[in-house]
Amino acid sequence: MPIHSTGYRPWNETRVAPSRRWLAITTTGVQRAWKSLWLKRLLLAALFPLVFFSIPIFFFEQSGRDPQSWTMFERAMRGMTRGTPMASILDGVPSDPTPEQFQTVRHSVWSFLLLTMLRNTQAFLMVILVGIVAPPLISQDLRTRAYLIYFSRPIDRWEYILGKFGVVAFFLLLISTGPALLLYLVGLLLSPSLSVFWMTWDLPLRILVASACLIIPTTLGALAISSMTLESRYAAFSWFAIWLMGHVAYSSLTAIPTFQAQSRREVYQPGWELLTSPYQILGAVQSYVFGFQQSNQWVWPAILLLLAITVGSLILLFRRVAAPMRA
Amino acid sequence: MSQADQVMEFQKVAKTFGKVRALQDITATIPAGVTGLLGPNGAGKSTLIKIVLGLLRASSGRVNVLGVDASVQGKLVRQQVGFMPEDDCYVPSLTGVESVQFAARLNSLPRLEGLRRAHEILDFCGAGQERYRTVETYSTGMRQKLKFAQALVHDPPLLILDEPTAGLDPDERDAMLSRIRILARDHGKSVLLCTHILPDVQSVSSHVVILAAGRVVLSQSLEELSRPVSPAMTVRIAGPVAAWTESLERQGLTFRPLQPEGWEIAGDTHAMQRRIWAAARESQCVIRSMTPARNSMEMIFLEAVQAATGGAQHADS
Repeated sequence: MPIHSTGYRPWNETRVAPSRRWLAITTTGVQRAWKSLWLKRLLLAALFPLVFFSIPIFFFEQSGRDPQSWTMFERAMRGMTRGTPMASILDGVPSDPTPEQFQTVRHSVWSFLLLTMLRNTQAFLMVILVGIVAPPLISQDLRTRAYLIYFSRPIDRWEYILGKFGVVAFFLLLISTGPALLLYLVGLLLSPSLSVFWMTWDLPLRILVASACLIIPTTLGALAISSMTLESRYAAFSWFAIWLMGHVAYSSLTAIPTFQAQSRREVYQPGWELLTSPYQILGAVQSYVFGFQQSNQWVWPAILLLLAITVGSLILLFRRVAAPMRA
Repeated sequence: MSQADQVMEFQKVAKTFGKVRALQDITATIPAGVTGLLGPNGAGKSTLIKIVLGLLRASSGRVNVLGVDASVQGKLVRQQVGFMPEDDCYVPSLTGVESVQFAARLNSLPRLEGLRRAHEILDFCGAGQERYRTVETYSTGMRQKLKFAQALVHDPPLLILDEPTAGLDPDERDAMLSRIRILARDHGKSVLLCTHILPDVQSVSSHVVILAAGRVVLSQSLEELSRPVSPAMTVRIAGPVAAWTESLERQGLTFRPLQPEGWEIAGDTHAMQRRIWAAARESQCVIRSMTPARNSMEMIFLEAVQAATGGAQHADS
């Protein structure tokens, strides 16, 4: 026995609030996931889009003082905005915009850049990140019978699910909401005056709502998949398969109409086909949150589908996580 | 038994899974101190523990744990109970000390306090530097210590230990039983010890509950159970056995051999003890020990279970 050992000593100090027990699950989960080198690399990679999207914001804000910058900005944005509502907004701005015209498009430009970052690069990183972090969270607990450690303590199923949700949500906040809010901050700092905040104050809120649309259904869906197997690799495979199959289905369904529209020099606007791909569903909802695609009649079915995924995953999780304890 | 003296009370508890009756009409009181919960496989011990922890709801009846209704306030019960499961269970990639700290935090201990307490409990459990290794690398013995530490870290008044000595070598087994004894004797903890190792129960328990075929077939203090129906002495000797038995017969003593090398001699009066010494002197034997006879745990268990299963079969037919 070590020299400092005093044998058993009772403990009767102040406990933390029971409402914070789920945080123990989240922080321990984050601590465990943090041991992955690939995760750290991914989090670092998630910062590069921030640098990339800061460049158009820089040129846009610079063009208020330097007309040549507008040309460079327009040129840089042309590829990015093709076939989007942003293209027509930019078409309406003359090549030498007045400060008033410039001010009117700022909100749209920032919204578009934030949406593009969230929808393209960060959504892609999100799929990889969740594929790394989420699959072992519940399946490993089932395999190593760690559920005995959780549920023989004053933890109920909701706290367990919330704790596990917190792990994935924490990393998703780091790669989606965090960089988006930073990009907004970069925009504010590059703008001529901080009064720009009063014109764009709603954007941080839109970022939060768009992030919630991304984080809640995807995290719960991934956890539900994880709860259905004892093998993390099967859960990871299923997760990636769902995204890949959705993308293949959407691409197959829209390939011919897109080609036909291009031959008529038109842009094909997908309809119900977007409901076949989780990526397109999330994109449509996030576009709606940022004020684009307001007229798309398939946005509401996409929102309902996300809600259904959320509720379905919660029901599945609720039934699965403590089932072994009741057996 | 007063409310203060009892830690659990079962009133007509029954549990059915479909058509299977796992528990039937369980009525028993578990007193403070160490209680051994015994029963053959499938007797309903695990089901009973889950009901105690509020993880399963009894089909009928009431379970009161430390004054709390387990079926209504399961979380409150689990806050006051430390449970050491029989099954191997761990959170992968955590070190031993992190695992115990995690268990502490699940029981609402603050983060740093949980770490301090985890080290303290691991010291108590005799874990050395291996506490800094990840739990996947642990031996069975170390995992048992870890589960014990996790059950104890939040200082619960009641411990439920499911097979705590399973897979331990004799030294470790003694150390584990000694810890249980210290906790009960010096720190006032109540312990429900579920095990198949009957000598463990005899070694640390003050009360025994035997379950068989989903019923409580026996619930009594070990002191009362161990006392034979008629007084007797257990004597261990060294020397010629034939001469010893002849001398006992000549002294007019009633006796029977015990395994491995003892003898049970009826009666416990001083006069009878003098006759035993005389028989030893006469047969040139050395008396190694002479103690009042006790019923063995094996005997108590087998008799209780056989009576119950025989009765159950009789009832079924």
